[in-house]
Amino acid sequence: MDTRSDILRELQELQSTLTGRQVVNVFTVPDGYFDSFSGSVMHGITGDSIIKTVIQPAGSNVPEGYFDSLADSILSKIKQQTAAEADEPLSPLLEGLRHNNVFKVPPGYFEALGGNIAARLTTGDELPALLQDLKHKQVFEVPQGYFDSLSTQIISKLKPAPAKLVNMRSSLRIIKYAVAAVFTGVMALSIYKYTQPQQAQLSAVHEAGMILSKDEVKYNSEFEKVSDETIVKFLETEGQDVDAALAAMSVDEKELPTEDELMLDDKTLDDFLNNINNKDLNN
Amino acid sequence: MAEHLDDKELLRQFKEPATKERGFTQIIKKYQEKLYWHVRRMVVEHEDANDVLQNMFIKVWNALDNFREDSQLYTWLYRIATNESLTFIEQQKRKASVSLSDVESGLSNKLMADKHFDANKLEWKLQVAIQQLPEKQRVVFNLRYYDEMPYEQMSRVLETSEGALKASYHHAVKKIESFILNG
Repeated sequence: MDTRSDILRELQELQSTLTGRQVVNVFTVPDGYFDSFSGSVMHGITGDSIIKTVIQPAGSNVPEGYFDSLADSILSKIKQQTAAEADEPLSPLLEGLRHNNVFKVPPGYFEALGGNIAARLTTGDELPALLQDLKHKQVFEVPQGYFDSLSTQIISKLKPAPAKLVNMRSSLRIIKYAVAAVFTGVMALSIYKYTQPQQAQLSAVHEAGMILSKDEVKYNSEFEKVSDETIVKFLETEGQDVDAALAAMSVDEKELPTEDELMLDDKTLDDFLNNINNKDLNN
Repeated sequence: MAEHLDDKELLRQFKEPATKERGFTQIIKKYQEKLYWHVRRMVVEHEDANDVLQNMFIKVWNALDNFREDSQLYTWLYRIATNESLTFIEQQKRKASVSLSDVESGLSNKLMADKHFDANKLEWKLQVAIQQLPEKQRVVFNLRYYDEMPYEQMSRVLETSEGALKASYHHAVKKIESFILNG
């Protein structure tokens, strides 16, 4: 064989000790292995499952029904192993504590447990005869025709009462008078202050007062043209107490004290204001 | 007994502005008696029951637009009526500044003040016995005993498990029986 002679020549060139030694195969195969090899390969490809081929060497048989009982036998072995592990002794400390139960139940708990569970499961329809008899005996009475009128009563309560209408114009008229009165008062004080030491200027101030009085009439007529909404807005933007102004709405203009009443009695104005406050409180 | 429309139709009427009032009147008429007796058994006196019932229906009017139709109208009404009754009893308690047991004995006294009250009659004894129960247990007993409400429905009304309701009813029955026989 050319190949062999080539290999030998190569060994000689390497001065190997292997040169000239007989090649011996130290490994062996089972007898007839190669004879049955091709057959077992083909059986694996074309025959039963690969698993069976592996478990069941070619040419050998398994006991009948082996695979049917295999799972059971494996499970049985697992159980045996688990039982053996469970039987391993605990540490002496834990073993001693095993039966020391620290939890307590009320006396007679377990005797009554069955009854209690049954009670929870019962539909509750098993009433004592005593209560069965009383079930439909009505002891309460209702006024005659109560149910006939009930829905009407409720519906009438749902409808809101008409809102109280307040005449904005009359109340704002009071504010206008109040503003005019304050304005006049300020002017009167100014006149007093400036005229007291200087009598000579009195006539001039009187003249000014006359002019102002005329202006006031003009002012009032101009003020009449301003809408209520504008006045409310103005009071709000100025940070004025709009609620107090609105409270004044409830005052009837006719109830205002006359000029004579105010002149004759100092307390008239105080009484009038107190009266308004009391009305507010009562409402 | 007058025929009533089903709840779906009543709710449809209520949601239509043109038929809202008519629909609501029908709802009141349909449930007023059942709810009245439920409330009356809780608060005892007719005047109190009437106040509670009317307030309850006014609340229903305000809340019915938001009512989710996936739950039953009947269950929902019972829930509101129960809560209103319990709130009323609570208010009475606060007004009187007394303990719960005093309120219960107060309710018993109201029973005994009834012109028809007869201590020798079992039906009156039963009413006195019911007033001895704790509030929630009283509700459970009344709903089951008088209204024969299924536990599943009662569970939705009182938001309590069916098991707990069954146990509560069982205990209530035992207490009442014992009260009547030994009291």
